[in-house]
Amino acid sequence: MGKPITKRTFIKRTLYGTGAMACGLCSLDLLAGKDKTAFQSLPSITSNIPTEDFAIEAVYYTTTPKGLKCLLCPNECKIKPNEEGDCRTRIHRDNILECIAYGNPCAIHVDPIEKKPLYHFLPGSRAFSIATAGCNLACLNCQNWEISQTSPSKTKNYDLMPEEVVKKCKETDCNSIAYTYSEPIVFYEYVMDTAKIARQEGVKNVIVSAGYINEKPLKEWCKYIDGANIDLKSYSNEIYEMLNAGTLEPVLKTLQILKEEGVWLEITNLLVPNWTDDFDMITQMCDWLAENGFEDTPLHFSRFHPQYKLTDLPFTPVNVLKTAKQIALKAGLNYVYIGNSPETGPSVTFCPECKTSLISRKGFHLMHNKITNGNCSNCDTKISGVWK
Amino acid sequence: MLSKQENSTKFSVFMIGLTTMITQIILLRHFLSVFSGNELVIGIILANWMLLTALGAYLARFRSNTDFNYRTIFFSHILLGLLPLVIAYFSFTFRNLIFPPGKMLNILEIFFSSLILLAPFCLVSGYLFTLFSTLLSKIKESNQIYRVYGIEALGSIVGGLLFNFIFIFVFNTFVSLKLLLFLNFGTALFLYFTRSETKIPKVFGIFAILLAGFVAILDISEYAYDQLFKNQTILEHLDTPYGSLTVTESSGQINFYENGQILFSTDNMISNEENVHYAMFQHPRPENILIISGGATGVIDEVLKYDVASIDYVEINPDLIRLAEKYLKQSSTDKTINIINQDARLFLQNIDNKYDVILINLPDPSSVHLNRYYSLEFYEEIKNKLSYSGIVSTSLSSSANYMGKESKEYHTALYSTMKLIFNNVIVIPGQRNFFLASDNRLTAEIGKLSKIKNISNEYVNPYFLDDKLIAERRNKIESEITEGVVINYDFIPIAYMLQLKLWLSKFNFKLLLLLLTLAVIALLIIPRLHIVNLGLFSTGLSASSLEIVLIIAFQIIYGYIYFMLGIFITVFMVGLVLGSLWLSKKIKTSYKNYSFLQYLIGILAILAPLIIVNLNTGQPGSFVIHSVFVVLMLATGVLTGIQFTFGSKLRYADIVKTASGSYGADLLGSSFGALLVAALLIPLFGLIKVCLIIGILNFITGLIILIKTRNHN
Repeated sequence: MGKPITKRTFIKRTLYGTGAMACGLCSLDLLAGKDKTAFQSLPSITSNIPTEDFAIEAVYYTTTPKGLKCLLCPNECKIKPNEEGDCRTRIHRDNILECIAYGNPCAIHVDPIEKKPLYHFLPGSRAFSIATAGCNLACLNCQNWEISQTSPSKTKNYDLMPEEVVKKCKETDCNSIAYTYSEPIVFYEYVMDTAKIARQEGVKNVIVSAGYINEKPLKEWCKYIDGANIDLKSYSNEIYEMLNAGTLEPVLKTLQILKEEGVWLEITNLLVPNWTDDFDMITQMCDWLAENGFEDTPLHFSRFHPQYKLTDLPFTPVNVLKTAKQIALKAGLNYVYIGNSPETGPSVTFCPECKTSLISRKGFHLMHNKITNGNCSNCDTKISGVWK
Repeated sequence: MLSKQENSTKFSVFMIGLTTMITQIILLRHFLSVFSGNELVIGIILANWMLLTALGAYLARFRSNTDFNYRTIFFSHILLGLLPLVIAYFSFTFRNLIFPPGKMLNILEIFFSSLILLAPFCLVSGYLFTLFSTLLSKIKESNQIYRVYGIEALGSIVGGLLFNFIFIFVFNTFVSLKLLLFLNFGTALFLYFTRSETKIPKVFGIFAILLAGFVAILDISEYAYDQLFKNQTILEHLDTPYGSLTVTESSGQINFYENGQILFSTDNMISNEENVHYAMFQHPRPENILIISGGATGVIDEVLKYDVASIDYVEINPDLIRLAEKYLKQSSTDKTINIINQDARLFLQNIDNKYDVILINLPDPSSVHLNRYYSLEFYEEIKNKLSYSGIVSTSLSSSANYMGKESKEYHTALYSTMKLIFNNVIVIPGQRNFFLASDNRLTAEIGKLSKIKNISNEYVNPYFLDDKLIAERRNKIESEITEGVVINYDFIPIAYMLQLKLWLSKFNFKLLLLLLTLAVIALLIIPRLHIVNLGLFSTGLSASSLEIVLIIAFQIIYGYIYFMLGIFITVFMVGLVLGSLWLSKKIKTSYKNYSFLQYLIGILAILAPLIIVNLNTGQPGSFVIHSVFVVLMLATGVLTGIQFTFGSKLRYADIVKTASGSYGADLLGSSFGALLVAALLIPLFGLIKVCLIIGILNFITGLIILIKTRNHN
């Protein structure tokens, strides 16, 4: 739990906040044609409150003669006094491992759930999406590098404690909270506490993560998480190390645990030219998925856009995406999609039995949805997913 | 006998000048492809170039035997011919061997890689300056350093002219380098066959001939480019005056690269549609459209979805259009399209048309050159060319879900600059953040507009773009970037500086830290320099900085013209030759005059911006603008040339020490000029303040020289 906020701090912050909002509104009014259609209830107060106010003791760590050892993710950083772990959110202070990413998200948006991407999870609904700064990986092509490769002490943050997250989520008519953008693993405790409240309030929880987490904390999470999109970045340990600063095995383990624990799972695989677009490797990956019982887990092949430090590579050719999809279908996966690419036409969910087009998506909109009570409306085959 | 030796030596010096000049231009362009750099990267490479040459000149001090012999000259030319080709080849193959493919290199990686790659050639060419100064001085039995300097500059002029006006249009990089190899091998072999006293073992001569033959038949180019663009089929590579273009194919997708950086790929609907429709939707009836760059990507096809009367498409590089026509399905045959191969600023100044929509598809302001398309002055010109309800659209690369400190400042600069000119400016967050500006009403309700306009799009439509979601993100961005006011000017390129900061932040580098490091290095070096060399250091620094400032200023005032670039550099070199070989003889070589010259350079540095600013506001004819810049360039060259001759004569050390010292100091100064001044101080302070700083620096140096040498005359 976060440190309780004193009454004084509360009043002070409210005053600052109102002041800031007033200034903000004044300038906004000056802009002609300002959109009034935006979500009015999204928090608009940003403040530079000292990071210490948002620190909470980390749940998973142990003491070693070399310092504190974080047990949250496979990095298992040994952290010396006043130093931080690789993720920049866990700091050793007075023999306590503190997580400074709690209640202080730097990004809050309302997104279509299809954008996560989650295609078999409350289609057509919206997700209240939050992220704090920090990440336990360092992908060269990170789309969110301005928040992932920095610490919550350096970003401009909102003050949004777990109860508030759930409240805002409901106010903005979202059915779920998505812990996303950077890496929810590094704000594990914040996710956990928010998810618990959300569960009580009937709001669903989804994580969008690279799945680079240890078994124990993950299993604990699974009790409260309803859906997950895990980024399986490649099927090669060497590429994981060079491109992402991670390893493959823990991610595969995560996929298996999520499935065993009954969390709705979808997988994303980004095809980076020269890195992860090798068809042999994609075949191996799809075979592994099929052999390990992931036939009904949706797989999204995503198109690479030049980003962050990988700016000198071209976009993934559309044909490569199409071939990858064919490989996955051939391997026996039932739901394979291409993401990030309007060039490839609508994304359609077909019934694995009768091949009826069940859901057709154009952009983030559903053109039709022929799933009734979780079954194909034509042949009544059960379609995996969370449909209500 | 003596005159034969003298002539051989002089000819070799001339060849060094020619070879180094062409090699420098080619390798700089070449390394831009390898390191995919911005102006800071150019600064680093140039600085390394001069640093290594200075080191080479210095190292020649430790050569024991300084007697004339043809063997030395023979081997010099073999090395000068061979090394550029080897470096060019290995830089391509090593890029993807040492560094992960497609990964942007950081400053230190670029610094060390270019240092290592350039070392063999630059060390040799620097070494040869000292060596040839010594040889010629021995033959003539007098100090001939200035003459070597002058002849080398003459070689550079010829080299520069050859490259900029012939090679670039006829040959690609590797063919040019092969020619250079043949020229140098030819010189070496000429000596080998004509001078019986050469005493070069037969085997070397035969080896040289065989090597030249081998190089002639080897297609290095194809293999080297395959290495650089891994897993892509190279359809065509073309070295053009505006940069090297490469067209590749990967799984049916065509990719266009310029200087190793990706320009665009086919099948990129999102980008094409965003570039066009956000702006076009806003206008009730868009008829006359201006596209500034990027039309070849497919943007024109998007514009043709509307019933337009005319499309003017400005693209400076005609070869890009040619290649696009060759490899892409183009609509450019449509009679409404008028392609103009000109600098857009120059084009805007000379037309009377009014446009309903102006679409700007340029990269981020990652150089002073590009900053001209994000400045207050530019938007003023744009506004003059817009019809009553006209709209302009431009974009910056975006940070998807959160705007960091650097991004925020950077976006603020563009927003507040546009806001000063236009009544309405809105930001539409997309793959890039699109800035739309107009005096008319603007809206970000793209979904709604797309229904009204009834244009069939794959991406810019209500299925992908939800007005409520756009509004939410847009409000967030605008509330962040409307907090401050930062105006970006042509002469004070703040947007460029902020872009540089953002780029550096990817590597956790701070601009200020970089600056301080260089300042400390400069402060460590300067007190250790001999008083005469201090003058040469300042002059080198001033000359290289002024050269860059003048070139940029010309682009701002007149527009970018490829030929003028070559002419300016040639004019500067002509100034050098005139100053060092001829004018220096007309003035008495004394410390007093030496410090006086330093003051003159200072005055020139301070006068230059005054003249430039007046030119900019006075709107004189193009003849006046050209003449003024030619005169300023020439003056810079002349003063530098005289100063060098004086410097090399005023030191009473032995020739080797003097030659290596003065040449080294001059180059060290130029190296600081290229990196510290051109790449860091210009973005930080702007052109005018930089000139003032250079001026003051020269006054201080002049004063120090005057005080320290009071008793000498």
